[in-house]
Amino acid sequence: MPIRLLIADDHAVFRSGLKALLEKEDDVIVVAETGNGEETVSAVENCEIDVLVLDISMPGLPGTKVAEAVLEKHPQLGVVVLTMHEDEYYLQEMLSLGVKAFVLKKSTGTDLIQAIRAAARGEQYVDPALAGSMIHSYLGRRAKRRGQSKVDLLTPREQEVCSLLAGGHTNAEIAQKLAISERTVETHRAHIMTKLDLQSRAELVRFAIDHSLLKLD
Amino acid sequence: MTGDPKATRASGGIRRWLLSVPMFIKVFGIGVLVVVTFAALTICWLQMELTDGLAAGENLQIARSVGLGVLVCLLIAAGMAALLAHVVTRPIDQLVQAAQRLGEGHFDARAEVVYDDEIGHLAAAFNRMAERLDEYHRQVEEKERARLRLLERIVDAQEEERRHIARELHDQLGQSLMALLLSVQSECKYRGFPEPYCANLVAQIRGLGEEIHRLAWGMRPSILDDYGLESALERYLDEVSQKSKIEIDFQSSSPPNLGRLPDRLEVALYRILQEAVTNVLRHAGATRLSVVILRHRDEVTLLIEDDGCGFDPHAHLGNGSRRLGLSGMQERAALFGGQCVVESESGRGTTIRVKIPLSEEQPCLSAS
Repeated sequence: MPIRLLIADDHAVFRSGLKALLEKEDDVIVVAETGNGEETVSAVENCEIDVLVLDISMPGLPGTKVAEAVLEKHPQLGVVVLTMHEDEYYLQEMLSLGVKAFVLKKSTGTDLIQAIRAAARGEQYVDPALAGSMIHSYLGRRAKRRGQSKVDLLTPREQEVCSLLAGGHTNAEIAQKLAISERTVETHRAHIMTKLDLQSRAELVRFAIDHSLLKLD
Repeated sequence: MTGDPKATRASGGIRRWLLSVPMFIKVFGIGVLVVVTFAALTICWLQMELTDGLAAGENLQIARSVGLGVLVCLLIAAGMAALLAHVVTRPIDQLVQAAQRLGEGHFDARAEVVYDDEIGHLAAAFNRMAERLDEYHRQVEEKERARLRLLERIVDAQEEERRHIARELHDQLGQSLMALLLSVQSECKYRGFPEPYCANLVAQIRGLGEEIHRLAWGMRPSILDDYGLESALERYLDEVSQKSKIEIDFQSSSPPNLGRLPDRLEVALYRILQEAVTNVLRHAGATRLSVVILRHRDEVTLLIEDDGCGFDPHAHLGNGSRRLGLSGMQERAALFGGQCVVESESGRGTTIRVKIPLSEEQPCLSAS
């Protein structure tokens, strides 16, 4: 049984090129083509398909909304996102909606066919070109989470200063709030940075968030 | 003139003290002095008369009632002197108050023209001056508002154009190129063109596609519109740190996460950060850059700190491009009623602090 396919892309030339390419595969039939979001949603209802090849940027209903609407009714449908957007934010959002595969338009060719076959089998597929940035951000986030409980190293006054520094206040503002001199604030700041082994304000803010010292009013 | 210098100083001190005595006391004092002199003369005269009378054996009672009469007259005279002093100094006091209010920036301050005398003329002249100043101030304010409106329109038009070009590049040119890539791939595959030739062609088309993507991204990143400022900043800083080998640390105030801000504010903050980062890369020679964005209840704060060479922001702003960059950042912040302050010292890095108030009229969409 061949895989029944619906192609949703607003770019007609791209669509016909894609169709020509896919129809040369024995196990794939293109059942229908649509050029905007609303058409796509109703075509999924009317044609019996196994896999939807979906573009993100489309006039009217964008691809993310189409995926959401379609997968709500047919959670088992294999949706393959085929897009120009190389950013992992799109990938993350689409995967969280239940999309099976994510392929970049520049990788169209063998990658797309593999993705379609995987989606038809109910498996996941992510474009190898995006794997690098996925791993990078995963490791980055892991590294960011590695915070140790050093908050006890700080004196209560230093904790106060730390909280205000993280809140984006200037030394002068902190000095005024705590009724101490600016020089003292500077000293506290230097101590905090040394004790916690922090290099930048961003790290200080992260520390304050992790230890519930950040108060935003 | 030769004299004791101490005495001269002392007399100078008394003179200064006399000059600084309030006008009211001066007029009152002179009035009292006149009345007292007059009364003293009267008493002397009466005393002479009475002495003669007493000597003649007249009643002591008369002397007492005359004395009491003199006292009452004295009191009345003192009251009159006080009234005189008040009448003279009141218009001056009012004028002084009006001038002070004007000095504090209340351009609606006017002095009351109490009498049609010299002081009255002064008050009228003051009022005319205040009127002119008020008018001038209004004109300046109106011009500033017009300038901001114009700036806002220029910025909006520029952003709209960038967005349009980015979209054309990405969605039209880019897509057409990908369609071309598809045709080439399918031709190569099914017509049996030589493999190295095809691979080369495909690589070239992909390279072009990446170039278009890069151009569109530089114009206006689509994730700024689709996923908001936080994602766009993170992505932009990631890219910069990979290209420049500078260590960049980014933190936003999550949890709760930053959420979506009004569109134009997100664009403004993104552009401010871009400008700041460009400055750091160009001038600071920094090894580390820290970016923090905090969302308070009624304010957004963006902090950009580097450990570079720093500069004196009050002296000169270096060469033209840096000055232009900084004032551009300040103008963008000013459009939202915010401010952009640069704190730096030679050799101690630079902190750029942008604060933008979140007003009620800018409905903030919550993060989805």
